[in-house]
Amino acid sequence: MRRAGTSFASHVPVVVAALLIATSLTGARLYASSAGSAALAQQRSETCEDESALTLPILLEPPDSDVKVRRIGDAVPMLSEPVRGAVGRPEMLTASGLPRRLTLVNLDDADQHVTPPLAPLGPNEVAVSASNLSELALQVGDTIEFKHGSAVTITQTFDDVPFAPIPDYWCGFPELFEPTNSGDLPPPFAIASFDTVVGHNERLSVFDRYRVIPEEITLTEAHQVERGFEQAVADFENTVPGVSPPRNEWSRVVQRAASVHTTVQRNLAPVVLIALLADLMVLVAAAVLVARERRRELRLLAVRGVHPVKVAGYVAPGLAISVVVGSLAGFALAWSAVALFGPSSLLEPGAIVGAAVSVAVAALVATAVVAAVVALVADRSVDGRPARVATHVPFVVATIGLVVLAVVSFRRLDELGGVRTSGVLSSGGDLLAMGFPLFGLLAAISVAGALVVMITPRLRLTGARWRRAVRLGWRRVVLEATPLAAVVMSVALAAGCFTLAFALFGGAEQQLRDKATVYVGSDLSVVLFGESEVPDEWAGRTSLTSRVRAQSDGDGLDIAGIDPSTFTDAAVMRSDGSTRSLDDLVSLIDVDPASGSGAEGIAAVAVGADLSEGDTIDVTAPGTTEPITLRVVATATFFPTKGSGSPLFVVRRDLLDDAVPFPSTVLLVRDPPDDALQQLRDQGARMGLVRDADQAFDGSSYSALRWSYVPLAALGLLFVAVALALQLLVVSARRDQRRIAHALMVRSGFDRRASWTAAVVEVGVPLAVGTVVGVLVALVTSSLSIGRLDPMPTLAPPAEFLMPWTAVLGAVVVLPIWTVVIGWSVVRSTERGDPMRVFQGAA
Amino acid sequence: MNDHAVVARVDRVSRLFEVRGERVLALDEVTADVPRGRLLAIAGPSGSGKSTLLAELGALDRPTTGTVTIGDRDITALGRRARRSIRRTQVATVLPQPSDNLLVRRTGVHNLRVAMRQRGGMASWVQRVIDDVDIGDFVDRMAGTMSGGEQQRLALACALVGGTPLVLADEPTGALDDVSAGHVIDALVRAVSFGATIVVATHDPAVMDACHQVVRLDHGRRVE
Repeated sequence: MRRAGTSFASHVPVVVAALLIATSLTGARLYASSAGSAALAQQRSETCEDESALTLPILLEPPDSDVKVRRIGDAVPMLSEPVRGAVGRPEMLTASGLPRRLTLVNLDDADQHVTPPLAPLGPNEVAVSASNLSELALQVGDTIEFKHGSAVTITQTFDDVPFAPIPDYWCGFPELFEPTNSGDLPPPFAIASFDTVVGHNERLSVFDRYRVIPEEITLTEAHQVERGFEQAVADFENTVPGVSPPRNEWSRVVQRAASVHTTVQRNLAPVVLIALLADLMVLVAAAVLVARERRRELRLLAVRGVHPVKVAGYVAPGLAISVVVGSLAGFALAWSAVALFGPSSLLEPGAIVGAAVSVAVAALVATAVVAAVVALVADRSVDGRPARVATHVPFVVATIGLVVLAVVSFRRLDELGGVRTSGVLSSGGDLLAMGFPLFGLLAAISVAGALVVMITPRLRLTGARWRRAVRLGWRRVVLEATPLAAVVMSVALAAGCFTLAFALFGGAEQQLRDKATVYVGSDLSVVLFGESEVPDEWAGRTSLTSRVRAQSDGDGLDIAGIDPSTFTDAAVMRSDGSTRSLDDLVSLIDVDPASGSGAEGIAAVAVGADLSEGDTIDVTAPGTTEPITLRVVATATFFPTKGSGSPLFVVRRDLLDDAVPFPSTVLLVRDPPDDALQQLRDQGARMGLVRDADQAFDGSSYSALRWSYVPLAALGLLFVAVALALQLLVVSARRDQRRIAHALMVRSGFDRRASWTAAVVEVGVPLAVGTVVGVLVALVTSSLSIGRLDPMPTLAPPAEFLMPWTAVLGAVVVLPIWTVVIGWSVVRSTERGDPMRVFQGAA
Repeated sequence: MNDHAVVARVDRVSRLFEVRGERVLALDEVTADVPRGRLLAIAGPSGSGKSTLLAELGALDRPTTGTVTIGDRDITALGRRARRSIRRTQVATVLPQPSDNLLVRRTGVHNLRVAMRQRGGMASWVQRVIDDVDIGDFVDRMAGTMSGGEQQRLALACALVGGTPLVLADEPTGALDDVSAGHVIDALVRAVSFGATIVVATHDPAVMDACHQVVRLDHGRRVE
């Protein structure tokens, strides 16, 4: 049967609704998958590939040992070609007679991973780094003799391999490059041929190292690798009884990435839930539009007593085509969007298949829902109950329910917080707690919607003295309370979601920067051993500080000694750290205890301590016998270099150095050059722990947080679609009334300009009200949430709310464009009506 | 039951509408019988309640008070499903706008077949109704290309197909010129002559003249 009266336009809403459903379902699954892949890539980038590689020892006997081991390694999927390595540690003969070992290293291609690349090394020839040569007081051509009687000749040298960070190729051998905990140089090593290393068979280990392929892999593939590793270890232990391969970090890498994936999924859950509810609203609205577009034939069917099931069956085939088209488009759109803009373009095949299945099921359900709604609308178009009275009870109940949900979720968030970071692992993320920003937004906007419904009837008589066109537009705005509230609420939700997304995302970024800056103290901090100079061109950007761990009444605390003359050159502090500025705090401690002020103790700023100005505290530090008295001259909640939950006392550096025998020295550098560490090394600095503000917390946990907030913007887009659909529904529903009014008014001088004015008022007022409500509610909600969602609440400074200007400016730009576009649609559809047909009701 | 037994009856039927808080009494205790095999007119000025009364008879609306009987059944108290069944098998309504009664992008024959299927009747009845209403000249054309009068006659045929006991036509000539209206009236008379029972809501004197009986309404009350 031909579907009489159907047109392309009647299919568009259904296509759009199906597209939104498919986008929500596909987007959620693929986005989580994308986040998982990205988290894995991030974890891998933060972990030495050698430490997460499969290392299988090779025994020299029996001779086919390496063949058997190779067979085991080759069975594990997604591994690179193995690197054969040999490390021996023969003991050198030294002039002092003290025992000292030289690490002989051979790795495939190692000679190509030093600068300059080495020429092939012959038997008993070695290459030694520049600093090792210097330390051993040797030079190229010298011979190193070993205790067991053999010797090697130094035939080549190479530049020192950097250690912060260690190049990827060498990362499995940090002990060869990193200074010891005491700042001493690492033990000397030499690169030799495989036969040379094996020939000096002392503390020898030979191995094949299988790194995971360098290409990005999915979490599922990572789990396959993990299982492959376990199987390989078991096979090895069966093949070579009594020898176990070293454990690697791969499981931890996968576990961390999986944790991020779970966190993102948890955060997505409330977003997806609300998105699907919104999709359902759009679907029902689309069905109502279809019913309206096809009202003549549907009414005919209803008048003829055709059963709704048959009506649904009659309209379903045509609707199914629209739903399938929309679903395919939504699936493709979400896939493309996630692949292009998601955390990673690598998606799990399982997630893609799962999304496709869920979209297929959703398409079936959507077709059934639209057909059912169309059939019910058709059935209700005749034989209605007399004296039907509209009721707002369901809306009021839903609003109260949302308010209760928001309150409960806020209490949950206040109690539990959001996703918590512990090291590089993220945990927590209670659904109810994490959902507060959205639930709060929904509840507040529902209350606003209820207010709109309540006050709209009172506004119908306002504007009597306004210009005719403005008055007409205004009267149309307040004509019906429920459609007005629906449009205002959907616009508010759209604006609110965007604002929330930007506020939370921006807040997370800022938290990361603020905490890293406080934790590091500046952009870079380097523990130095001994005296060293900093490059001249760093002048005005560095400061030396001293640090000591002390105790007071058994409680641990930190004391930082700062140089008042240079500290503010290197350090910065957010203004809410103290009631005083950083300059003031520094100047307050820049007093000499012997200056005759009468006060006892070293002037100190107490940071995060339960002390007030004027209090004193006695502390004991390692190496001191008498307690040191600190006099609190100012307090602060956080301060540059405050890293743990322990209180920090900031004093003058020279006073601390005088009072404590072994403080550690930390160099703070603002805006360091890229090769800062190399420059320091060139200056002869012996370096220990290095902290870089850019990398201090750039772990997966923050990424999980950021990735979790991005879908809120997608939800905002969805609500934009909902708002558009609702507004078009209202515009469409009033088309005939508007045409009749226009046909009458055009004869009394109501020109095109006046039509435009009325349309802009009719369209623009709900949009403006919705936008203002949405943005304001989102600002309040995000300001309540951001501190409580802090993933590291014990680490200063506390998370701070940032005004999301991008979202606000975006709303300011979009609002007039939207108004003009819909206004144009209103004017055009009004003027296109044939007045005669309008009056006949057939326009 | 004799030839002029009552097919339908409205008994003290009132219908109260609420429009934006205002109460409008469209029908006020109207009582009327519809005899079998007759052409009955419900006449009256605009707003007198003609269409509302037709809607009550056609199971398209429920009265506020009173009862509507189709055959032996009081349809007032029936559920939606039963009333839907009544509309499908016992009573057919022809809407005032000719095109509203048809699938305008299909032929007249197709429209008749669809109506036939919806009533669960046999295909052979289609030809019979084509002959009864005399629409053979244009029934093979697309409904959308037919004149208003032709469309309305086709709509009448769709309503009659399958031997519907009661056909209700709301202003069937309201949108037509005199010539077309004349054809429609002829079709109504012809259908009744073949045994149909038709109730027509109209203020067209020509239609009223063709009817066996006229029920007049004014402000929702029966005045004749």
